[in-house]
Amino acid sequence: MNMSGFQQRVKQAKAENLWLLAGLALAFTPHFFRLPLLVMLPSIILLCWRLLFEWRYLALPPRTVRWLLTLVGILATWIAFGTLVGQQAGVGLLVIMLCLKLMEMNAQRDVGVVIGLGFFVVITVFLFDQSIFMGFYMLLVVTLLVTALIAFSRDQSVIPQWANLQKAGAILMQALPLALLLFFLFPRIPGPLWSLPADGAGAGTGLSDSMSPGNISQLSDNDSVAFRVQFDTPLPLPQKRYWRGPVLTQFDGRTWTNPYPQRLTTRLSINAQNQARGTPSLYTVTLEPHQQRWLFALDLPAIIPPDSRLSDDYEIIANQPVRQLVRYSMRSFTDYRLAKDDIPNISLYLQLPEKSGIQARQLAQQLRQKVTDNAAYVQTVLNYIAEQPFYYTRQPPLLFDDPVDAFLFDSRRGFCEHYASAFVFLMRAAGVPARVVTGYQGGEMNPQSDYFIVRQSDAHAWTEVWLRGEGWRRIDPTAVIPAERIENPQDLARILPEMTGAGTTPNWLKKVGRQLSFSWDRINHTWNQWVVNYNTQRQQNFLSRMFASAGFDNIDWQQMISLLVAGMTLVMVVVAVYLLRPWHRRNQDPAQMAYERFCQRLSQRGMQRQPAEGPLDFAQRASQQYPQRARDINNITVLYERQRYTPYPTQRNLQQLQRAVRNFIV
Amino acid sequence: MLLWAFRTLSTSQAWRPFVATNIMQNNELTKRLDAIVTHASQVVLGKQHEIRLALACLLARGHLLIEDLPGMGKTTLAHVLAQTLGLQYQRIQFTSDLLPADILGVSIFDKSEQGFHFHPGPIFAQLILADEVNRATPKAQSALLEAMEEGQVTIEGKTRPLPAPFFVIATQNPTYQIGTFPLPESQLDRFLMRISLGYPDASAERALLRGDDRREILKQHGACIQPGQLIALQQAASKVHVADALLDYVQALLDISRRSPQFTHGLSPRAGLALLRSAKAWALMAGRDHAMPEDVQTVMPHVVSHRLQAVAESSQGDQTLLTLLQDVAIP
Repeated sequence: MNMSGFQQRVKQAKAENLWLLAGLALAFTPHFFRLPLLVMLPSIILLCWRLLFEWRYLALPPRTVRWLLTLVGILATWIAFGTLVGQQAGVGLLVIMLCLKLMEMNAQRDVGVVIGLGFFVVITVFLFDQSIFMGFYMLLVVTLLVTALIAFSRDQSVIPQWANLQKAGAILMQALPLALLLFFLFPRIPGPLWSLPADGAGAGTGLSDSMSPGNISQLSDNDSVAFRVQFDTPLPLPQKRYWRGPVLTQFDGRTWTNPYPQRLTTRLSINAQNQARGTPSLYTVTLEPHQQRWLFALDLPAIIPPDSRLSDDYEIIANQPVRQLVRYSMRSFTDYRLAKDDIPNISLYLQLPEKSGIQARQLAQQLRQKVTDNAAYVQTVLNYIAEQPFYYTRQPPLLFDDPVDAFLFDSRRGFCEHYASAFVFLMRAAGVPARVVTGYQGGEMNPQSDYFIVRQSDAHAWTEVWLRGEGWRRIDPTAVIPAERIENPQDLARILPEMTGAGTTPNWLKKVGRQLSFSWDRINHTWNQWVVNYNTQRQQNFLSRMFASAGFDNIDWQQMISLLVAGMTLVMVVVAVYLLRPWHRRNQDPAQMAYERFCQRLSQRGMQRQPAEGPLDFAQRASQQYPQRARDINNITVLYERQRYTPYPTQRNLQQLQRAVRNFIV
Repeated sequence: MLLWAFRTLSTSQAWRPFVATNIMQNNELTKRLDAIVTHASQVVLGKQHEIRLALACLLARGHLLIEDLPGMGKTTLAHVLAQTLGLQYQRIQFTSDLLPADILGVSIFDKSEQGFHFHPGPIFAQLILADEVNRATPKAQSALLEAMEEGQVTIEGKTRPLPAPFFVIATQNPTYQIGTFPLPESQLDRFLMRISLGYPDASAERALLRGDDRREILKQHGACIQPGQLIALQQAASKVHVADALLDYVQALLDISRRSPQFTHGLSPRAGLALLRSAKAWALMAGRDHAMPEDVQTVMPHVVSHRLQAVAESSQGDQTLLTLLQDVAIP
């Protein structure tokens, strides 16, 4: 008998623990792919240990072993990260220590600690990934953890486990209005709440601060979104859609870099310094985190977004690496004249590596001698590329020794970076200042919505040439390659902006696929706009618009707090009214109501009637507790019994009961 | 109009006198019941609660299963009940070679009458003690259990009624003992209650060891009531009032037994009826003409424990049942 009771308890404990362990395992899963195995493997082993303890009664380690394991865990974290602080190391330490806590989870208090830490792990996942998928996935994890919390705090054996899950769902649904209120109304602090130490490990996809053959072509298959743009003005012409990124000036024969510390400025006035023409494009960029500091804008940016500065080469550099989604409004002139009369540091744009490109230099000299001015020379070189058998390919042959000569005279097959690199080389060899510009070119409109998508596969490299009297002129040498020399028909559209839609005729399946991908992208875009990037300004705008009719035109944080408190009170009142349901009471037996009042009086004195305690048993217990009131207690119980359980309840009896309860004082 | 009349009638004082006499009758009868309990507990020492349960089972027209180790006083209890209630008593010792005919009786050719003459078996009595019922083969068991259910036996095509009242007390050794044929669930269901006596407490045991032989004491006892009065008591038990509030409670209990994962299956409607019948008998023994939640709680473990099967192996329902009772609020 005792044995069976014990087993019963164990069996129950197992079910509760399974909720907890499942929740934790799912919470760890995203970290598993992100943190080193040295940290995640011990965590998983510890988790399995606990599982085996619940399942097969494997013993938990004694105190000394736990101490040892703790030291090993700290050591493993330190070896894996070289530190114990910082974003990744901190999360690693949290995960491993949480798993160690499982080794000594014996009491209710420990369970509370473990579940609390589990919620904390859920938060840390969002340091790395704030996508819509992760949001819903973590909602599942939170549901499991709440279920575990309920299962552990309930001391009943008869409640089936799925009822706990149901309860957790109900609780989360009840929390939803409060969560929404807090989300929309809690005042946002400008900038990140805390600034996390930067670790270099977070590698992002996208452009980098150097370009060597193969850099950009490896992005050409990457369909992930680089940024999204919402235009307030009409779309610029396809041939003007150049999104400026890193500008590279230094060449070592293979790799283009930008080694000089840039002079950054916060002031810019394109109209005075340069000649901007036409009407500007107004648009808002939502940039995916790429761990670098560039912000992308259409050539040529006319304003500088907040928290960023502008370099001499017109790159927009953010003050912090872009670790989370950023959103900035931009203004650009697609028709412009830049540095028309003079440029500082002209030698910077004429630098060439000493020992490479001997043949290329000769070619440059030859071609330059044929023409009179630099502008004509630019055209000559472009013609040379167009006429000679140069091919555009995504799989260029590997070039050793001297990539410039090898490309220009030998392989003649390359990607945009080859052409940009060779073109700038030829320019500089003839004394024409030139630089390589990397960034994105093109992009596509989401036909289901009103924004523009630029993907990593739109990454591109082009050049700028400085001509006296005209300023910097954008030259895209890749664009002059005739269509028949483009190996992959799909690339036609990429490099020849005018020819959008060219390529293989898409069948219906492709069409559907594209539609779906656009739909999914639109959902992501909305998520970014409204959830991830709901910052101070957006909150301000949204609330002002919402409450404009109520007389708030500019809502400050005090008003937000007031609204928040008012909203929470409203929710609480609705819940309270629902729970108490005064209209529900009328259906109840008046005798029962009177008796409940009686029980309430007693419970105020600490004499609590158990839900399963019958009136006779309770009367006996209460009489023992309050012998001086035994007569009243018994009288009320007899009246109640007669009213509720005998075949002869009467109105008079009920009145007597109600009177007796009214007069009852403990 | 009609509804109004019905309502006034049902709540008016006009019904009081009838009910009052009913209570008075009950009071008189319960005194007799108390006398039975007092007498019986002089023989079976320190087991007053079990004796009351057995009596309640009888009043509810149910059969009783006593499960316990040998030598705990099962037979004595059956014997003393038969004697104090003035019932005809028969004892059948179940063994593995017991045949149905040994229970029911056989027709034997009578030379003098040139025909078959029926010799009734031990089942033709008012109170049967079926001792160690799980030692017999299922065939013999079923002969007894069919008689219990129908109140009559059919032998060689002829149906013979059993005497009334007909009450079976079966004893059972714990199923883990060697040489037992455990009763299947469907047959366990025929028993209204299952109780176990357990060891007596120290003072009762001291009195037992010091006192006379139990058989001698038994012989000194006579019947406390007439057989007709027993039937009247059974009728009174069936008339005990059950209020809607109590039915709510019973339904809540049945419901939780069906929803709880602790049992392979929940309680059947028949189990619900059995619970109510037992609670009514218990209420009568407490001198009430209406059942209370406490009555249900008292009889419930004995009524349902042999009808519920706990999921956990080697776990008995009792422990689980107590928690089940604690979890259901009385509406």
